[in-house]
Amino acid sequence: MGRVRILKVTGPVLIAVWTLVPLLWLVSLSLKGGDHINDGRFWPTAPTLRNYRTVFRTDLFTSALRNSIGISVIATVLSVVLATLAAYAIARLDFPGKKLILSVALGIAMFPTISLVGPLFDIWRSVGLYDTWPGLVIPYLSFTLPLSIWTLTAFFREIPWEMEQAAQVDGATPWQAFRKVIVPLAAPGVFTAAILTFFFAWNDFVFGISLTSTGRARTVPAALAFFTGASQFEQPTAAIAAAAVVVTIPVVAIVLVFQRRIVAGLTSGAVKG
Amino acid sequence: MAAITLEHVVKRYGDGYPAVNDVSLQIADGEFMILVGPSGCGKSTLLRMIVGLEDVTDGEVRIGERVVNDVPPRDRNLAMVFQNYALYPHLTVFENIAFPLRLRQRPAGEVRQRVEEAAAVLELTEHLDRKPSQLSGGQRQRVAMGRAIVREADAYLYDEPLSNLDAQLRGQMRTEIARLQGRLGVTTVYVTHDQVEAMTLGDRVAVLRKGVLQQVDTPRALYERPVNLFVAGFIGSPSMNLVPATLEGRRLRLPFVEFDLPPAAIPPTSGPDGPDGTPMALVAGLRPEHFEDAALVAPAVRERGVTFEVKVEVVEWLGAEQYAYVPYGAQAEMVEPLHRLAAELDRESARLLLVASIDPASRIRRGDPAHLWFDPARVYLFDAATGDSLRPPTLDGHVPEYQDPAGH
Repeated sequence: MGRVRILKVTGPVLIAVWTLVPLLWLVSLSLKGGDHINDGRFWPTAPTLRNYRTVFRTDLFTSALRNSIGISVIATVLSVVLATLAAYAIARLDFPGKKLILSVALGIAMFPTISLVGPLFDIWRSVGLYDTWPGLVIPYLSFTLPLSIWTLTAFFREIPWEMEQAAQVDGATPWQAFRKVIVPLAAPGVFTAAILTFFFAWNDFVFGISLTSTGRARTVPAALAFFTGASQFEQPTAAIAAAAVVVTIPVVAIVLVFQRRIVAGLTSGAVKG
Repeated sequence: MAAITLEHVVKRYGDGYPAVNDVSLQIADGEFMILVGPSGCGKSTLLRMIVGLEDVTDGEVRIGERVVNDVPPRDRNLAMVFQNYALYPHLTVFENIAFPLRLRQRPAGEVRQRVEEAAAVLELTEHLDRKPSQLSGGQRQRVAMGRAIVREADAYLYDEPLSNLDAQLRGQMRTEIARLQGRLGVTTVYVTHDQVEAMTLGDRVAVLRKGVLQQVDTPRALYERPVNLFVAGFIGSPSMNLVPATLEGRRLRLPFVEFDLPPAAIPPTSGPDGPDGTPMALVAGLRPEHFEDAALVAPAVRERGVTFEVKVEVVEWLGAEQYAYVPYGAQAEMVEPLHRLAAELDRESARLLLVASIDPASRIRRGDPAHLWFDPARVYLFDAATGDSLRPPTLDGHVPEYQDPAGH
């Protein structure tokens, strides 16, 4: 019994240390002044916000941040709206090719991203999507939609059909029943899908670096590779760390804000139980 | 408020099997109509066709004067209580009840007032801010009813609303529904497989079997004059004893006794083997409550009836009631139609076991030989092949008399 207890305590601690130390290191690095980067200490001896001021003063970072936010939000909204409608149809309607859609969607999600970069680069160049927002939104959509559709289909299937029929008898149009009853009940699924999509777009590096060439559409993960230091004689390591911390903040914030909504079990009590 | 009319209504699913077959039924304005039958008899399908959740394959459904076959549920102005309640789990009790009103965009003041009225009637006032998951089964059931009564619907439809509640709560809610109906006086269609609910709640009861309407009548008429074996076996608790029998002239032979039928009880039409010819095989129906311990029957009354000796296998004494179980033997081929009927009624099989409901004061004990008495005028006779009633017994409100042992 003592052994189990020890495992129960040490396990989480180990995992926390394992995942948090690199993050702490990143934060520490971002707070170090130019000369201290290689001082071999974990904690900064003279913490400074200079690196943050630097990244926010460079166009490279601010335009990349703008692109990242814009592209990720657009991709997320589109993906969730399309996936919700598609998943609802798959869960509720009987139509030929339903199984095919689901398996093709899964196949697409399994596709290695890197294999698409070359062809996309050529196509985007010839159709004029290269280095534009839609040029990134489209691949993000096609990679996140399958997962969103699968997640949401599972959620919709769990909602008792009677719920919708009750709404209809109560006087709701099919659209009202969908909007006022089904979507709120599927909210945990919708949030899960939204967060997965947002993170995929936000964290993507491969498409970001390959399908952009200027500040017009370059996202933060791609832009980090082009960083220079505060002066051209300085290593950009600390500035990159500061930028990395800045782009990590929204991810952490989103998870903290929405974690309650991700928790399933909202439907308990809908029917007998 | 409106009458509901079904005319030759048919529901066929993909496989062509009619779940509801040519049902015609008139439900009067303000009437409480029960649809009853074993599972799979089409009663729920029929209800869902009335409310519009199932398409009508053939025939006509009218609410008032309006044909509603192609009217979507939201425009039929009916309220329905689902078997699983189908409460909206993301909304509070208040918003659940208010939902139909919100859809109709009623002013907030009116919504509040009407929801509070409904909550008061259903004793939900203190739970209005809760979510359905925080409520007990009976409370959820009441919320589902609240959502129905808050509207001014033309009719209320209930789909086995009490089947998820425990026995005690079921009885309580049954009374509640009866009270509500009496108060609102609205046309109500109520689906159940529970014959106690059917008998106690309904103005009239429609008995369904395999999608076909068997009999529509008041509970009393169903009990006293069932048109066939199915209705006879379904209505009444404990259910009617169905016993293979032969009739020769006026002589009725049961496995445990034989006697002469009174002239009024002899079937007028008696098939190929008339009463004057060879013995006719049929099924006799004897209600448990029409038996009595012969020792408790006044001698004058006793003479009018039939007394026979039995060996009681089991006695159940419940204080207010007492049941005696008497096994008997019969030929296998005569029991065959009874087995078929038992399967249809969701019973395990036809047991060759006579159930008699006798006075609790009776001293009949297990294993003892005893004498049972019954009135031959109360025997039901059914055609063994078709199951149709050959003739309702002559009842006319006549109740067998026996000596009251308590001396009242």
